[in-house]
Amino acid sequence: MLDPKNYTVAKSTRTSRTALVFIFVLVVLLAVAPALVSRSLLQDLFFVLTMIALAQCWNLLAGYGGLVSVGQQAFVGLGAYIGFAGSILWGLNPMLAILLAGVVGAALSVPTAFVVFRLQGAYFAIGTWVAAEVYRLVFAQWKALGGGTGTSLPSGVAKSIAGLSWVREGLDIKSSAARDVISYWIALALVVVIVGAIYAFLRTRSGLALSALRDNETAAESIGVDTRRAKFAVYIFAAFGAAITGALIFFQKASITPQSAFSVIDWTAFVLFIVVIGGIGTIEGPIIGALILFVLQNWFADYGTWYLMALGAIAIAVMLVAPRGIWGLVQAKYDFSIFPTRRRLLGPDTPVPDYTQPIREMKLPPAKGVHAADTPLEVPTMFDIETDVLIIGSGPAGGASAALLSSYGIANIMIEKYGWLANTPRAHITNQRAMEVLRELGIEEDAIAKSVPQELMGNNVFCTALAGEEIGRLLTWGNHPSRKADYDLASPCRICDIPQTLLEPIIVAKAMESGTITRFKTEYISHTQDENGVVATVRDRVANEIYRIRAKYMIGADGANSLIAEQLGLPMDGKMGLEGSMNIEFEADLSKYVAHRPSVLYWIFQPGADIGGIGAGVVRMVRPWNKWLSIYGFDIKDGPPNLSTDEAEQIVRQLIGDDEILIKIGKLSYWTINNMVARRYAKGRVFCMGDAVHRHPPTNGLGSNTSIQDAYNLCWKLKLVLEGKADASLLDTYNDERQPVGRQIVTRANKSIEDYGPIFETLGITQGGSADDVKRRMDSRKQPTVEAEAKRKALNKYIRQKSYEFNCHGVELGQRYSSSAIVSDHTAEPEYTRDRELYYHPTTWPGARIPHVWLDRDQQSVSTLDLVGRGRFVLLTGVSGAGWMEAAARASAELDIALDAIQIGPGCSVNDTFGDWAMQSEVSDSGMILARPDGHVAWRSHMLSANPTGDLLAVMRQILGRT
Amino acid sequence: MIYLDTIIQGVLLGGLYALFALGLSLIFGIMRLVNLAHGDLMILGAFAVLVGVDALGLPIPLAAVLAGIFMFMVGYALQYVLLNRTLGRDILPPLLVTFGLSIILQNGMLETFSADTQRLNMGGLQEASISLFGGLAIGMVPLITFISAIVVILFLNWLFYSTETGRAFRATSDNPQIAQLMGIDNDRIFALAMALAMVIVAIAGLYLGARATFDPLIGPSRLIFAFEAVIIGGLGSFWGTLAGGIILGLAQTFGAQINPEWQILSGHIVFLIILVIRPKGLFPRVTG
Repeated sequence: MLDPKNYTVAKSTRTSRTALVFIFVLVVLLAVAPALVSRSLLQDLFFVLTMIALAQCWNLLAGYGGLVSVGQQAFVGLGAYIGFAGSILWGLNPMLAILLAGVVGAALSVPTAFVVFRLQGAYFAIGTWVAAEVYRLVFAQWKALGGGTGTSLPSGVAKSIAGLSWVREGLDIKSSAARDVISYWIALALVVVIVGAIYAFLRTRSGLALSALRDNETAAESIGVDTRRAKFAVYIFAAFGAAITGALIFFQKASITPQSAFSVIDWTAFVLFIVVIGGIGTIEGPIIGALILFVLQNWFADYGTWYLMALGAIAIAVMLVAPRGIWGLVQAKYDFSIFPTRRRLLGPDTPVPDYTQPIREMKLPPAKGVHAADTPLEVPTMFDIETDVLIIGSGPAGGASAALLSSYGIANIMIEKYGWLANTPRAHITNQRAMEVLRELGIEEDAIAKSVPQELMGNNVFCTALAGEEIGRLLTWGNHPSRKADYDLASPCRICDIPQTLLEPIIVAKAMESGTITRFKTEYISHTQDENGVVATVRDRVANEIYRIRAKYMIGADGANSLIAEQLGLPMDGKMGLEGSMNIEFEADLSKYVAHRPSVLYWIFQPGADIGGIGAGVVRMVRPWNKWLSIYGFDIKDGPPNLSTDEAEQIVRQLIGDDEILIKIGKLSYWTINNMVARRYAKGRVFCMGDAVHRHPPTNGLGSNTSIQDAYNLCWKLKLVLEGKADASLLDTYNDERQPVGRQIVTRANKSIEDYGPIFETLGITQGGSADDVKRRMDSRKQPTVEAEAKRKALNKYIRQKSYEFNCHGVELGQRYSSSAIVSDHTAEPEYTRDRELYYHPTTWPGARIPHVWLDRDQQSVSTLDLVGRGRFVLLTGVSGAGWMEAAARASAELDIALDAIQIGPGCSVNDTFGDWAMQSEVSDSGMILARPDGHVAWRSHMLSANPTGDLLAVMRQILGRT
Repeated sequence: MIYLDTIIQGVLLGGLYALFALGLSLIFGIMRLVNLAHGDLMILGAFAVLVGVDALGLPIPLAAVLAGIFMFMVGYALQYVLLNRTLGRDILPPLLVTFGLSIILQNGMLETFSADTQRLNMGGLQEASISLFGGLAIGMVPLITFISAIVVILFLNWLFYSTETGRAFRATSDNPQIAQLMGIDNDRIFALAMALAMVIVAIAGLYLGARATFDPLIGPSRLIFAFEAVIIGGLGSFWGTLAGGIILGLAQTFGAQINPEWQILSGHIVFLIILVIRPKGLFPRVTG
């Protein structure tokens, strides 16, 4: 060990002494600075000091050790986390915690070195980066410190810093300012110690070896320098320094996230620029560099990306033009002796230039010129929002979820990527089941006010053009007299047509009115989840800021290109992009072609209209009878055709078949026919719904309706689980109940497209030839021949077949769930007496939606569906069901859950005036039906049981998973 | 069956990582240069394709070819003007310059294209898949990516061992001084190599954008994958790089199978394990 005291030889003893005095004075000045300067200047000085500390450590590694690391953020982050853990989790005094951080950083650098030292040169650089990433990912799992979201320092910890009260009283400042002062002093001490230690170290045998290495590794090795040991020592020391500094920086910040603690930009890129610009391989360089960076940051940081680009360019330029940095330039230009007063920075030993060591003399950079700036130390770019349920997407699924959860009193936040709701009409058929959900939400009337009623929906015309020949017509959406009764009997609500552009605002307005926080222009990016919740990273697209939202559960309603379903890896069956289709919105007064046969859909069978798309050309009413939308296919193999307005108008004109009529083309949009359903709807605490999990063509008009019903199924379960009234296993039933529905509707909608094929073929459109050939074949059905008669019959049959698309009442209303939230009454499932898809079969068999009948309450008509829902269980019984009433009251009290009981019958609060309930309930007067909050029958009992309370409790416990 | 599926996904993902890594491997092989901006250049390649598709309305293949030509020129200019000046015994200049370049590229792209996540729309190909036995399916895009990786490797091997240019590459790689004496213009050879690497980078960018979303700031993490694939495979062998990519891909998909949060972590850990037991990678080129 060389003792510096032995080296009394100096270039200039007098200047050394001057330097010593100068440095001493400077350190003293810096030490008393808190009493002299403003708080913001003090924070600036803290920033400069910590950057100097980090830069010195990196410089030691790269400049002297030749170990170019881009992974020092590993130790900064490590130190920061150990510091937080020490003070928050283990109750250490912050000072001790900072020291502990250094020790742990140094300790963990040993195994890290073991791995990364296997790489040489540039590969070492990236190896250290990988190591830092590993640390980041591992610390992001430390749940006690907030996992991926990070955590904040409790104020109590910040106040427990030793000497706080002394500083506060001594300087007569607030305790937060006193904390700044103490942090600053520690930073100052740290820089003095680190610089002193590096200086001392470089003069030891190891330090000498290191310098030799830097200059010529092979030569150094050949004269017996143990390069490995010296590099190892440097690596450990740099880790120690970075960890202590990291702990200090984050104590000052008072909050931590894995991203900020292990930031490669903050703790490596900036540090690297400091050293390179200041002058690598010198002790002065990092100090100069830190000051330069500080000045640049104060002046230019507002320029954001341009500032960073300029910084990168400066670093490149310095590396190419003046690889030894600013200090190198200074040294080249002036002789050392010009700066004798700045010869030493600090340290107790006499500044002795040792000719045996190649490091250049230490000089103190100008420490003046640092001006107070209002820039805070660090603008926190991340903040957390907490809520119970985070909803991604504000379409029918997301909007309905938000509205339902808010109606149940569950806190929720909904984010939407775009600035407003649907911008094209898209979904429009709003079926009875969806209307029933809106009815519960209290927005049925609003929706009806914006809707086109059932009576104007149903003349489904099949023609060669709107102005052309009508080939056939089908009364749809329950408008055929034989079907009208089915529809009317099934629900208190009417099917109607509301474009998505009009429905979404109604739903979202309701949601926000009842408490949902909606953030538009906010894009979901990613999420992580653990056993306590989900943390989603989102981007505010207005401020271009990324922040995190913590929720107990997340709903992924982000549509057919769902990023969430993709990130969750939900297994998907089927294919996307089977056919291409486009929507052409247009305005035209088409009354003369449609007013006598009002409908939402007019189907055009023309040559070419069967290619791609949904099976035929469509003219769809958006608003009667002047706003329209044409749906037309394109060959998916050619990609979207990117039509001009003129081309779009040509298609529209061709479908209308009238060259005279005035047409104003609006928006064009392209979409594809999909046939895909998720095999699983949820993973952990994230539930996907709507198009995210069932992607299918618009045939049958089931998309938006099913989405709303997905929400209706899930939200009450979330409510009960969040309130602690049901076990989390209840949430599994969402998938069990809704996934089969999704599969059913995706299959149905795609089948409906295929059903157009036979019509085209029978008409002879697909067989090619000239327009005249096609016309001749189409007209051939008008002949009085046997062949023509067969053709007419076939056409009739195929058009009737389309009832499976347009009168598919069973698919719309007839879902019967089967899951652990449905308790069997040990009766067989009622048989389907008519076609299961076309006809709704009302039943109270457990799993089915409770049948609608009109009842009387206080001289008012109420539906059975009005009695149930609104987030609570409802038990319906008859005049002889007093036992069940009692049981419900007891079960409700015992389970602390909303469970209402209603007797229906003469003399009861609700009267079965028409006697329909008696016919429909399928249980006796003393029996009961237990309806879940979503109106589906949870359980029923044909008559009063021997132990109604016990039975009901057992059933409720099973449903709630409280076994 | 789920394991088989995971294996298939992992192998196909490995093809993508191999494409990430081949450019890195190529330029390291020829000029011992580690390009820390490699990941950001891939993102630049992806944006180049996106501009062709979105702004110019070109079909993807044409946009990709144009992006390849663009990246070829970028690579040539970059090496000729900037990076050739950094080559030498000292490893610091190229590292710092490419690191600076990385910061410039990231922020330049951020300024130009905003932080929005992007995706290259492959149209019907995006969701197309080939069904295998037992309900397994292979996505077309991953499959094409994998095949592309093999084609690139075959091309590189052909180029290296059967052409004049390849000979010049190998000569400069083995001994730049002697190569120069033999009349090879090192600066131009290096520029050509970088240009070639950037074409591969453009291909990598194309598939990166087709397989997942990207934004201006994800370059560094992709660089790390590329680097891991190169090291796992062993320096100097393109097939080794493919193997490295596959191992990394498998590690990630199996990690994700256990817990989605562990996907990246398990890739890193497998990398570190291999580093400890086989520092030269699994398939190092036999020298001598």
